[in-house]
Amino acid sequence: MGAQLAKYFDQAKAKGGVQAQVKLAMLTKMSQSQAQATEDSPDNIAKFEDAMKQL
Amino acid sequence: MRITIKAKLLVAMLALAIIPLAIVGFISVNDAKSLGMGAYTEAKELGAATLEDSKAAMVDLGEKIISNKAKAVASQMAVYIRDHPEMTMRELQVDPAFMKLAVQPVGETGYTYIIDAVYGEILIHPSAPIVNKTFHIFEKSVPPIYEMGLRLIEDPECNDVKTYYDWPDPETGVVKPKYVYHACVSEPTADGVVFSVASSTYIDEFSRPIVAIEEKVNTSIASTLATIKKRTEGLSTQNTIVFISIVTLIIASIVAIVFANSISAPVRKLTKAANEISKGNPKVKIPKIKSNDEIRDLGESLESALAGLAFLLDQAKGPEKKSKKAAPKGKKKR
Repeated sequence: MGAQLAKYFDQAKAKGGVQAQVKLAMLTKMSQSQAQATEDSPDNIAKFEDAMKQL
Repeated sequence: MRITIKAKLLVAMLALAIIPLAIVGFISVNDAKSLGMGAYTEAKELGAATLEDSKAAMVDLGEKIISNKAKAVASQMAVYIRDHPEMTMRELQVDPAFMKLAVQPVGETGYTYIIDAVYGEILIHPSAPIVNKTFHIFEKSVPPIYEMGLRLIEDPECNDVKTYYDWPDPETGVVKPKYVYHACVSEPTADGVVFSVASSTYIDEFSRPIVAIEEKVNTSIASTLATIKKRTEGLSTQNTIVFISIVTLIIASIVAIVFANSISAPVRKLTKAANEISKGNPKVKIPKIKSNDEIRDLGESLESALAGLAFLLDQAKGPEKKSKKAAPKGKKKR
């Protein structure tokens, strides 16, 4: 379901490792497993995009 | 002893409501009492001062009326003597017309009489026993009359004299002050008798109306005081104050409870969620806080922290899941 959202965690890892992934989770308030279970809605994608900019 | 945030907020808000109310109420009641008593005292003092001034004015007026009567009768006597230059004092003493002039009413109960200005002999008087006697008969009984008589006969120019003396009221027997004024008659009789006209009456005939007013004023002031006391100390006033205090207390309590709840309820929810996290349950859902304040910020921060923690826990579990998935493929090949 949240395949797109889960990919952001891979991008975060590539950018800054586990630390970046933890920060992404805190900014989006979703862990990777929660993101996978969540719908790839435009609102959620926009939230992850914003969070990625802050990493 | 643990005191919840709700209890602290409740006590603080009630104290903020009740204490000023109590202070203002106490001050207001005291101010009202002071104002009322001040007004009563001032009214009483003003009334007393006004009545005293009025009494003094009426007494002054009474003295003028009595003295003017003496002077008027003296003028009439002078005219009569000029019209009857041949009459001696003894003849005048038995002349009805002269006697009628000599004894005239003054006020309600007073009268005029005539007295020899050289020897002090009472020449014509409504009380027959003292006629042809001198003022010396009053030396012991009415000293002021005696002293005035001395002044009269010792004055070669026959100037006017006056005095107050106490005399019992013929009806009630109560001793009251009388005012007497002597006015000299300008014309001597044929036999050279120089005499003066005395005018006298009780001075309270003139101040009596003021005394009546004084009683009415005192009654009115006493009634005003009773009303003031009733309004400031009365049961209805106290009941009103108590009722308003109770209503204010109830309203303040309701507001305090609602306000305290709006703070303590979300804090309790976040506390509960944090307790679950502390027990090792990362999947707890952080409640959404609706209020737009620091407590909502706290909830969002907690949510962020929990998401980070959940991610780390997932990472920690991740390799175990992969090894469990590979195991079934290896068995099939065999």
